[in-house]
Amino acid sequence: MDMVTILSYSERIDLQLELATLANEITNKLSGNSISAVIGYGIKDKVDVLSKNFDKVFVIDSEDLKLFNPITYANVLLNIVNNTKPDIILISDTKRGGAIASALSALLDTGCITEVTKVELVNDDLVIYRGAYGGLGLAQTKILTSPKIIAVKPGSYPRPTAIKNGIIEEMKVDIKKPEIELVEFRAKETGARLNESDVVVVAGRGVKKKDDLQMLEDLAKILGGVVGCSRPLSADLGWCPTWVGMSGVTIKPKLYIGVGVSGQIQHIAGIRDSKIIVAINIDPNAPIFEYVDYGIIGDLYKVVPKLIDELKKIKG
Amino acid sequence: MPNIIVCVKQSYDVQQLRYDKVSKQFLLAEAPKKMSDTDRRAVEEALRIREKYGGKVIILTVGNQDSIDAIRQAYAMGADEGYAIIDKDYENFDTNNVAMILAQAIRKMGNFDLVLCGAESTDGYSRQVPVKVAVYLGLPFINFVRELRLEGNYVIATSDYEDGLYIYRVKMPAIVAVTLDINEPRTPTPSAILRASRKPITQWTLKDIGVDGVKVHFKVLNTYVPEVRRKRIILDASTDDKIVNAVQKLIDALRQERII
Repeated sequence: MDMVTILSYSERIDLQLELATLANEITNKLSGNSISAVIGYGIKDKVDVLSKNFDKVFVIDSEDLKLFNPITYANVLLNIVNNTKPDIILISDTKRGGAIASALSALLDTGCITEVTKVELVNDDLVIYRGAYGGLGLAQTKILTSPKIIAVKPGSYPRPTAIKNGIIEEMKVDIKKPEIELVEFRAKETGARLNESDVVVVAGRGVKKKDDLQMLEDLAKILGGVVGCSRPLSADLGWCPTWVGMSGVTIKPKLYIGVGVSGQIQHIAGIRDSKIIVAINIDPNAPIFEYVDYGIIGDLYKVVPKLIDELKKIKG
Repeated sequence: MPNIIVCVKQSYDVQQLRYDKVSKQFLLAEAPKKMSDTDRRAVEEALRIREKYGGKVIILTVGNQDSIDAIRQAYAMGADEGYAIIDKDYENFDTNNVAMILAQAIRKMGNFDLVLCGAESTDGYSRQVPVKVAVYLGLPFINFVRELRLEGNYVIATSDYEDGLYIYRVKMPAIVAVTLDINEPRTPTPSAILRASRKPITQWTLKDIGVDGVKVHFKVLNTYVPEVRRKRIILDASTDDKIVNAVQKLIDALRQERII
């Protein structure tokens, strides 16, 4: 490949910036253009930061995009694809992004890989890594068709330092609205941005009541971190808006502390790249102890308060 | 009286998947398989709709001979009819191929009001197939549904996104992908399992549904278990004295690691 064109899309500006890092990594080696696509309603004022990280930013802002549907959004994105003829399309793999990437892959009859955590350039070709078998494994894959659509898990790449001075161009396109009506929207509490924190304390099923999360908040606060949940606490009990692990958020903090987390492989897949992994669990056979740097086998209701006390002594 | 087609996949049971400790490769040949967890919930949801509004629950799968078992599992739960598109090259199919084959089969079957899918499979987890089926069929699509009901010719579906719950209303026919949270599927009785083993299944080849061949869009080079490089220092905190000691050791370690 010489002179690649890379098109990046995410519904979130902060995740677009993560994609910019990967796009820069590729264009630095192969030379080429890094283009950003922004589509939605009431978003055009938010794109300035993108022009500092991409060579060009295409904006499609329309009231017809107020109702999100992955097929509508993929068709709108298709206009920018046809205009820019990218070799690679990067989309952040959120719930919306993954579905847009998939729909676009069907519309373009080209390959798409979701759940991607790393992309490597080997002999001018992309080797794409994704989680496999519920996060137990890692698959090295290749897309054989063009453009290559790669849906990258949030948190897989850091944010870039702004180095560009790109042009912003607004596009008007015909939008075929889906025959779907939004009856009601119920917002979730917006939790802490787990993948941006240096320290993440995660509550697992060993935590008995929602009120006990306060104890974990206290621990996180002393360490300058945030609290997240494992999947059962979020999906089944609704204690957190999202969870750490496969199909939730992938994190790689400097310090991960799992409190009462058993360590299902789907959870491990979301914390695997943390710098230090600590677990506190009463069950010595909990699978998480296979993956820890430091594991404390004991009652979290006794260990965590003691840990907080001792940390307070140090930190004042 | 809605006719519901449920697309199911026979997946590797990842909780029971083992790997070779030396080569780090998965032992797929001996791995047990089962219907994907979310697909089982799609079947359950279809059965609940049938119990309320009547109609039929029709199971559709693409796969190899092993995949027929997914239909048997759905029969044991109470599904009415089953169709399997069987091809010896199935293991190489990508999500575009599977979705295109499902869409072609659905076209051939005709006479449906709703297509239900699991939002993701237990083993592949790509979340790509349901939306692609909708693209190929040109039908409206609602994703990540955790609550579903019918209102005349309309589906009312609650989509679970990161920022909130979106309740959509869409006219049938439509494609809906459900999440693990939508219901708790029933456990079939032994006699239902026995009856299911005798119930006929319609098997089609790609030719039967008018597919001449498939173009594969991506390739897996290698799948392996990544190396775990961790210190694995385990501290016993089973008594009050040991807690003091374990906490102190942890704090010392975090200091050495320059975390605190």
